[in-house]
Amino acid sequence: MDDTEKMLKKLALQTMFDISDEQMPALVEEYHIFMNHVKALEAIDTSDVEPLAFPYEIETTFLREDVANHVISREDALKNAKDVQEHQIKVPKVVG
Amino acid sequence: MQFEQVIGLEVHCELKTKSKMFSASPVTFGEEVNTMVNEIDMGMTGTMPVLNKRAVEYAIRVCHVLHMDIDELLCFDRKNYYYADLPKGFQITQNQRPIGRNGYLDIEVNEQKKRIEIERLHMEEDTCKQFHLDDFSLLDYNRAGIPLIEIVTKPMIRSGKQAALYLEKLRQILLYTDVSDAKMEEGSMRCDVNISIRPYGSIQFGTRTEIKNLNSISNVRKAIEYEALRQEKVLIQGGKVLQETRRYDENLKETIVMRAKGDAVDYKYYNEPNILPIRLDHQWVMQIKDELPMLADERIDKYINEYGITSTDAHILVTSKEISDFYEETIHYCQEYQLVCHWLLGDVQAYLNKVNLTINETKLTPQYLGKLITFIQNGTISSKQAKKVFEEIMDSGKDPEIIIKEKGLKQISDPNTLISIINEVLDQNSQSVNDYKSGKDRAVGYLIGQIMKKTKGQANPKQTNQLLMKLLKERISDK
Amino acid sequence: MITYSIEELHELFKNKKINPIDYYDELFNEVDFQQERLNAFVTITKDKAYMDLEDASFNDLLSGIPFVLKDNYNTKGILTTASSKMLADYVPIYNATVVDLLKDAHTCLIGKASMDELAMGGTNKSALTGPVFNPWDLSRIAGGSSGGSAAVVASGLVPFALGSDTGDSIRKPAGYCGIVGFKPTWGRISRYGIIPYASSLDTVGAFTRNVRDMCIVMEAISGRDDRDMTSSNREVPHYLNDLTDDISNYKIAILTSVSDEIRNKDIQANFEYVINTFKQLGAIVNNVTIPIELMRSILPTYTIIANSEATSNHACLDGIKYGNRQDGATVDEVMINSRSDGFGDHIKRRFILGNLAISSENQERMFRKAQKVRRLIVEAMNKIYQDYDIILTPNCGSIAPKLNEANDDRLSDEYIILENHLCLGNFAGTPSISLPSGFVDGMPIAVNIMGRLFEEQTVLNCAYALEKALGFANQYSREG
Repeated sequence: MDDTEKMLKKLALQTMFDISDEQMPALVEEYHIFMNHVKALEAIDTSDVEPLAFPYEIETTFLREDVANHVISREDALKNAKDVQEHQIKVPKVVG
Repeated sequence: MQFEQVIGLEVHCELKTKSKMFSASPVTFGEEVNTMVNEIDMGMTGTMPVLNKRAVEYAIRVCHVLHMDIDELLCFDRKNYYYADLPKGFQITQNQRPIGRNGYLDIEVNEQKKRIEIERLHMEEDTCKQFHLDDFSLLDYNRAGIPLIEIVTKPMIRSGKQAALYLEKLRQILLYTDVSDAKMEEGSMRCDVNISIRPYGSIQFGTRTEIKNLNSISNVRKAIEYEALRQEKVLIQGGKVLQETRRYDENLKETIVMRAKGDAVDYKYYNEPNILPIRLDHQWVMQIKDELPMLADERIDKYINEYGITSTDAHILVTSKEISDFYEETIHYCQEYQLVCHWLLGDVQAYLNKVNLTINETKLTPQYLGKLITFIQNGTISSKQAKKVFEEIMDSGKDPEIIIKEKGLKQISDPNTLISIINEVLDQNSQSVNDYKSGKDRAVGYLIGQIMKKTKGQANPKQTNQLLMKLLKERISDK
Repeated sequence: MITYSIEELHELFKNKKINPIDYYDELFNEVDFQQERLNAFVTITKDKAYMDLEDASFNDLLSGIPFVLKDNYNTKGILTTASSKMLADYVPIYNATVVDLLKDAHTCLIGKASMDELAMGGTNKSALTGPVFNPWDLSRIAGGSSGGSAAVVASGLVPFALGSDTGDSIRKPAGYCGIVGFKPTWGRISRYGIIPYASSLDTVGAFTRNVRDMCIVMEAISGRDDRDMTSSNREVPHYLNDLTDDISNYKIAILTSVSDEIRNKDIQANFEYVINTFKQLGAIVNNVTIPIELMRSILPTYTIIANSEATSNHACLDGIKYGNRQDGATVDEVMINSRSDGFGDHIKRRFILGNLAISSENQERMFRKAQKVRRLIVEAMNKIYQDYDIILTPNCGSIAPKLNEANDDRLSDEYIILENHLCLGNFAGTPSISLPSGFVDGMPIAVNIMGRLFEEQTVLNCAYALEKALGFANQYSREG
């Protein structure tokens, strides 16, 4: 495994994916394409330009009143969970 | 070599709002698991956050008390990481622009003021609760989304004792601003410690460790004291302190490595794309300052200067906000400031200690206590009778006025009635009158006892005493 | 008996010219027929439709009207998969706000439509249920990511369907399928309950077969929603009442940075014909440009922003609370196994690369850099909007590609302006409509009309005038 592959393998794990050896070449290939995109943007001068996080500059003043008026049933809350015990979602023991 | 401790504290505090930070499900403690949630708290795909106004108000209260600069444009970020207790795979927090910056809190160390500078205060949401069993863990989402504020000091604390003083003061503020229960043992107030040491005089920082999972102020102190010593040993032995996260083990009374620096998570913070920047109304922010609840220090001043309470009593009164609040309400009904204070710190506190309850969990109300003290003060009942009435209130929850009536506890305070009773007793005990005449003061006590016996203890003691002396003197001079 | 527009169907129901039950019986026969042909549905909600029909009074325009939702709209009690294995058995416990709004309007949901997995694609080939076929030519794609929604409207099955648009996911397939596709202003319609792709680009929108129907649908689903803080408080205009085909003196900018890229002569001729039509309608038409380096940066900017936001938006899909769950010895293993099994390979790669771009080490150089370039692009657009009401472009450079030629499971290294320019509307959040403008090789082609923020009416008027002049309203292809 070269450095790029090691980096991608680690990054994949951080993204909660186990990338197999068979999947690695496609990821490496796409990583290089992605880095070409990054390079393409480097050619654009953005000094003194602020990032645009929303499509347009907008602020709101809206805050929700502190009223507890939306609860779902426990049955609904757990309906889609695959492993439930004592009305709680069961997972392997969390350490640390 | 002498080492100096360099300590910074990060305090998380759950706000006692009615609903959660970004969703309209209730904020509760100790309810049935997974009954206080909705799709937002569960991290259901497609849901979106909407910020709670009250939570912002509470954060602003604390910012004001800590003398912070308040950012009136609220911006939120995502803290991205995967963890069992994190429903969305990210936590919404304020990374770039905390609501509060550059504040301070003064503490008193060995009767000297020390200013602890506070770097930032920001808002975020709590995670779900994990119950760790032998072979697996269970997840309860009731806590998920409860509003949190995080308060971060600069590394200005120099000892475990200072840390404890800071935390006690901060806790008092959180309680008196009415924003949180601030109970470390229940997790509504949590503290992480960053600590390093360096030779005295050095301006360089040493490598720091972080200590997590501290569930009481005294454990914070103990953990710091242990950790400082541990780091010192490492350095003296020529070793290097490693940057790592540790936890405090209460049983071993040691800090233990949780993870090394290499395992540090990259949280990949970036702007939360579903919350627009929120412009706060400046008037509102200022109004919150004007309407701040009275803090402990201000209450102490008021108690001493306006109510004439001793400084010691005033300080004791405010150690519990519940007691202090109870005091303030009681004096609406009875302006006997000292007497109310003495009752609260005396009989009431003794009772609370005995039954192990807080005052709001008992049947006592400020109105009842006020009445009780008024009855003592106007002579309706004696102090001794008052103790009986108090016990009865705590048992039955009845109004003291009714108790007095039912038990026939009323004091005899009418002078004419008392005079005729006293004369009767004097007539029957001429020997004692003679004893008094020959200078035996003991006789007075005996006569009082006889009067009390005759009146079944209902004679007003103060008046009885005065009248008895008067009548005795008359009889002596007559003869 | 099917293939009516909303207004036609409303008249027929209201005046009792057709029996609603008979109509729905026939409709569901047609659903089976089209599903066989197009593979456009993930779920057919026949029982629900008949239940919805019981509440319909037929007094209002949308009452009793059948429609289809893209499968990324959360529907309480109805399977919602976003065409991903990760959500193959996910039954939501809540409704998206627009789903509630359409329920209140007494529309009848007949099914959930196929899409590219998590809306991350442009071919609809990545759907868990397989590709969706173009109603005009089954050997071609319907486009994506809202391919199923586009196909069901273009086949004549329903008069409208909802889609979602992050780059061009409504407008591109609308063009390929010869129907109207509209993405209004970001913030005009609540996004609450729509399984996201990239929040700062995602927009709710719709497919119809004519502009008047689009006005009706937009009016019904637009407006402030306190559950979506980014939704606008602006009042929703009466798009249909205010609709006019008088566009004299409208100022239209031809973005030649896009149209100069047309290589297909027929599409070129068609676009010129559209320009001339606008001139004849009295509009003032001029050429404008955006610097080429910005035009060429559209794709990289989009790739970086969209994948960065997507990786975080889909971090909630970990197998714990809902969705695909695979066993593991630790929680991390459960998440890794569930996610590795649940997502398509191309989705995994994009999430990984998105995470690369927001990592603290790279964020300034990648994600924030892309956000900065986004600002430059939006500023260039706003400069045009200072002088013009409308920016006009061809919808894209070709007709719908053949199934075996269309591939987007790999990121593209070719910055083809004419295939990517529609996401200008997502960068700036501006309203953008794609409208059929003719045929090339028997396949529909389209133009795109983009207006200023919250000026949906101007865009709809412009489209209405063009639609009337060109005569491609209400077209569909039932049998190909």
